[in-house]
Amino acid sequence: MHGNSIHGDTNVVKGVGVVNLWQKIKDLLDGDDYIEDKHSQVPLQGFANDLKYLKSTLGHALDFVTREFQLGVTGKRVAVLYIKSLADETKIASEIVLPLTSLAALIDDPDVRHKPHEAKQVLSASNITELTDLKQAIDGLLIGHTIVLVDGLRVALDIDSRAKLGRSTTAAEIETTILGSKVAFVEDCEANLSLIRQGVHSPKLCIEKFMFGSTDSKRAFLLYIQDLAAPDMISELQERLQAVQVNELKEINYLQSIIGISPLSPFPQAVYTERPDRVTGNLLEGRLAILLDGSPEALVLPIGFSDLFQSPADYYNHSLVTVLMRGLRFLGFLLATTLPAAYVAAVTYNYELLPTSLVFAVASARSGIPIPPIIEALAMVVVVDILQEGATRLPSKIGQTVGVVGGFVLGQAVIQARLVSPLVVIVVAVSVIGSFATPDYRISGLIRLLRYSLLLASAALSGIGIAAVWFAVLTHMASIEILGIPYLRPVAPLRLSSMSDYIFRKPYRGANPDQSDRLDKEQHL
Amino acid sequence: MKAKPSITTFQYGILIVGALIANGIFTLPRVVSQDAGRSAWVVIAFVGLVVFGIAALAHLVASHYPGQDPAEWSLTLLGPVLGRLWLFSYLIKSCFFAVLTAKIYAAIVTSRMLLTTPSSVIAAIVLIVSVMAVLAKLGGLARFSEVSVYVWLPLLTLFVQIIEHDQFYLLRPIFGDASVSDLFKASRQAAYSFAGFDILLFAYPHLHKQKAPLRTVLWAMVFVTAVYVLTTIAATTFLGLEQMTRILAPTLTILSIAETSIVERIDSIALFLWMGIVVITAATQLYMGTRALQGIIKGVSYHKTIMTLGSFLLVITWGDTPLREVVAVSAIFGDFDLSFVAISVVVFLVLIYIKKASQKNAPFT
Repeated sequence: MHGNSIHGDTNVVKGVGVVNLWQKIKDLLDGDDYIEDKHSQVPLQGFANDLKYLKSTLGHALDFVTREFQLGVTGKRVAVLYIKSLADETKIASEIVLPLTSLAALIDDPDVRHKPHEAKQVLSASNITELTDLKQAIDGLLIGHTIVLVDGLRVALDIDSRAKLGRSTTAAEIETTILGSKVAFVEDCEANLSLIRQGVHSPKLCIEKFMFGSTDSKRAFLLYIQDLAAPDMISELQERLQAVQVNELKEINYLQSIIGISPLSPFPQAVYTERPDRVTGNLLEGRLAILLDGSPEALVLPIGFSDLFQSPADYYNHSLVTVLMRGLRFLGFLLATTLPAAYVAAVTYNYELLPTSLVFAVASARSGIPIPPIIEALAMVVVVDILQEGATRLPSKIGQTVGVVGGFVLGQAVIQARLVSPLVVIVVAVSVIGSFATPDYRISGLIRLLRYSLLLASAALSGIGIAAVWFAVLTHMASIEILGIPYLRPVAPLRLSSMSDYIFRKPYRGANPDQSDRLDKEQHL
Repeated sequence: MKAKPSITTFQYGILIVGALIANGIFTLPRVVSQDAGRSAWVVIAFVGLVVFGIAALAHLVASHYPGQDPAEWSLTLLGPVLGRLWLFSYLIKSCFFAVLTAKIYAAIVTSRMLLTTPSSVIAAIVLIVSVMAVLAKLGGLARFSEVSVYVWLPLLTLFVQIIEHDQFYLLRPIFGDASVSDLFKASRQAAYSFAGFDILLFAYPHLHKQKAPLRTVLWAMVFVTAVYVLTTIAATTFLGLEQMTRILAPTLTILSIAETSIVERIDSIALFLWMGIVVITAATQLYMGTRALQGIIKGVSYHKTIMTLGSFLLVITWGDTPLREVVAVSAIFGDFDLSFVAISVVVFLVLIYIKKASQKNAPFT
């Protein structure tokens, strides 16, 4: 979403001038989202006017609190404004309202409008910003800050009073491992940064902030380790992040397509992880990570296709066990995508592939089945996918019941009714189980897409159809480069030195294991 | 415009292997044995050596223009009119061989497996995947080539397994059953199987390190020649000369006899996996054609050129041609590619040296 912002006065944009209206329609037709200009300003215009403006803008919200009082001999007015549901009221009382009483002497000073710094010093809260723009004050209020207006003061004070919302760190729920760290990210970016800091004790850890949204209200942090991450890669991602212009960025999941890394490709091109140890491991391998306010996940890139088959548990197991597990995951992926299609091709066209004894077994299993193999396989795959989707939406206990009813009862019933052969039930079951073997759950969508494409291709053109789809997919994968790193590395281009943490994982001996697969643009191209 | 470095030296070699190997592996043993008899494998080795010589000369030409491909330097060397004429010939040659490659594969598939499917459908699929591979640019095409070659490589071991050691006498005496003219004719027909090595002219400017790639050309040519010789030896010793010359794709026939406990017919698997190599060959020709067209019409976009050329090829590919006819066409025009590239390369080298000499002798440079 690289929309061009419409600059200039907000009123002009909202107006019905023919030229502006045409521009807006044109932008909408071009697919660019209309973006409100975040640079327009509403300057301070005196205590009463400022207060009126803020009340008229946010007054309709029940949780918007305005506390007004008079201070000092001269009775100067002070207003403390905040949003109750976002701000920490205890902090406001102790660090803002109470110290404001000390401000009385200052208020009585006729030169007060020239002493905003002294006013700041009176308040005990940290992180105070002077504002001259009321739009910024509204932005601050919307993220839990408190705005203090003092009659006669030429600035408004923006004080960070955000309440600790959300949950404390919990164990990972999606990327669970038996061994190793259990902690997962939370919605609070600062907490997530500290979790990463605990894993990377290096002064070279760089953290850069980027602001997103029409009101610059969403913060994103780009993390990398200097000297480990390739400078070209960093600068390319920085440019992409700086170019982002969106009205609203709800989740980190949107970020991959927004920053323009092959948005049309169904292949996962970044790792979304809830595990800080996975992020730190990747940072140490020279990758980049992005954290976003409100997202309990980090985005790690660039990744290769092989990275989708790696699990944090691999580094807690013996290297031989890891080799076996990674091989099984890849086999699971192949079975999940291709087995139903191979079954259809083998029993429809290419029965010459099967050994003679197996041909007889298949023929006897299929005898009396009224529907052709493709319909049989397609129907079973569709039913299983619907069951899987249904089980995901339901509470875990009911979901398990649906799985059992669907898997066992329905499977048994269709075999007894002679609607499908037992063989297709086995094939589809193995295919579905194979799809669970991949550690990255985002790959399951890709597996389904490939499974259906291959099924239809095999029904039309036998094994040639399967080969055609796979080679087409391979051309697509070969075309993908993420921040200059080929998606198929280290197989293509072949880098034997990087194979140490691909299908194989070298035992840890001597050298720092985390740096064995350091990404280097020159090295991989 | 300087080409963007996007391929490694190894990928440079793999591109040459991929561009060559699809053309002859199934049909070459029969085509050459028909005329050369027992000497077929020697003829193939000899043609391989000749092609390496031409490839080395082509490499020498390419190394004079490290940042450009023939679409650019041909215009500098030959001038705008002659240069465009040469590029047009190149375009025709590339289109012809891309279509021929797809058609041979399609004819083999429909004659052995999908008997009721029109071969145009298979040829169209090959061309569509080839267009996709070319859209990935040379870097993407090189990566695709790498994976496709790796996938097919294990099948080569089967050919070694098939060689009948007690029939080695069929490979000697070498020149016992063919005259020199027969051997020459066989060499010309074998030349088709080496069509496409000129991709090195177009790939060279995209190399990351333009050092020692001649060694890469050497191993690529040796590899291809070795595969052709191996398949010919396997087919000759297994089938015998008489039977082999009656079969259109002897290599597939011998694979169909090979058995494993899991898969009964390896030839079907080989045919599926072979599609990747066929795509590389067609795609490299398509890439060269695209660049030639871009050289003729300056400023046209890469993507639009590929899509136009791909659509054109899809149209002219339509229509079923029996395998025998397609193989016959490839045998007739087999040496066209080799002759065209060889003559072009020699002319270019002469022009380059004349140009250099004139620059050297110029009073003020």
